[in-house]
Amino acid sequence: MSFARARHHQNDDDYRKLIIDNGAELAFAAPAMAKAAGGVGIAVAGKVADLMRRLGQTGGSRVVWAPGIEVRTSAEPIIAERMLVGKPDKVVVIGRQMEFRVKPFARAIGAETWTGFDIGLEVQQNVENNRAWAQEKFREGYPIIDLGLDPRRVAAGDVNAGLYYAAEIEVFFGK
Amino acid sequence: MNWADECASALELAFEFLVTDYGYAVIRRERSNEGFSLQLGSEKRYVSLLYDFMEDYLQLEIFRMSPAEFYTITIMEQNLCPFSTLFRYYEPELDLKMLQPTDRQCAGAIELNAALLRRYGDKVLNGEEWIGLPSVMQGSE
Repeated sequence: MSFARARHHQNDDDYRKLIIDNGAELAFAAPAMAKAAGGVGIAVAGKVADLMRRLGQTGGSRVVWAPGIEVRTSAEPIIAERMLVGKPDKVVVIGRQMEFRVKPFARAIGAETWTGFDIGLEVQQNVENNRAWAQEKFREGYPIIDLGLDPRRVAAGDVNAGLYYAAEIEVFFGK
Repeated sequence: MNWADECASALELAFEFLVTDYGYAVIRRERSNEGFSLQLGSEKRYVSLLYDFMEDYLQLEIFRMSPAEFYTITIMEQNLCPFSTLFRYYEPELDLKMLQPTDRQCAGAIELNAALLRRYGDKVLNGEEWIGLPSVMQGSE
């Protein structure tokens, strides 16, 4: 069974109430929906996008915060580290480790992620294509959920962002 | 057959001994645009093999838990043994770069990982021993 929940550990008091309120809504709504739909699904993605849009309107600009949204599509939790508030209803998910983390998380909440990897292209060209996709999403003002590094790779001593994720965080977060 | 297919086939073939010699069952086998993952399990262990095509990276791990068991990151860290951790436990000077593909040439790295797992992983694979992350307790089951 999949589920998503939201926790609250951001700094700004103006956002705290909104996040807690909506986080509670997500926390209670998601398990029931997951049970009914067999997954987290679009409904939760809509709530995430709506929450992010409201936060963006409240702040009057893009705001980076860390909602701690957690998705389980298998035994392992996939936890968001930070978000970039945006305008469209669609959400983009980035992070290290596409196969076990970014894709399942994006699928679970009905979000988008980069799907342009081509095994027939050289690494640098793939990275540039990934960067170009990220720049397009950034210009369009998409909300971004950043999953950060892969805890399994970090546990194994690999704390690098990798070429692809590094390009994405540079575009969306500046570092 | 392209390099990604070749690497996926090589990975599956190299670790076939987990099925034939240890009785592991295939839990998940998935080939996507971005990678190839194979998970095999016994009652006490499961092995996760991933060739990440995007990053040209082998992520090879043993877990001391059921793949169906929900867990937290902390529990995961307490029950995770990357192959590199196991090998370094017995060969502290091992160059970890040798365990990874270079420029999409994966065969040598895959064969080395499989050979070292055969050499050092018998008790861990049988559930008789556990070599965890350096910060976690090690020893017999």
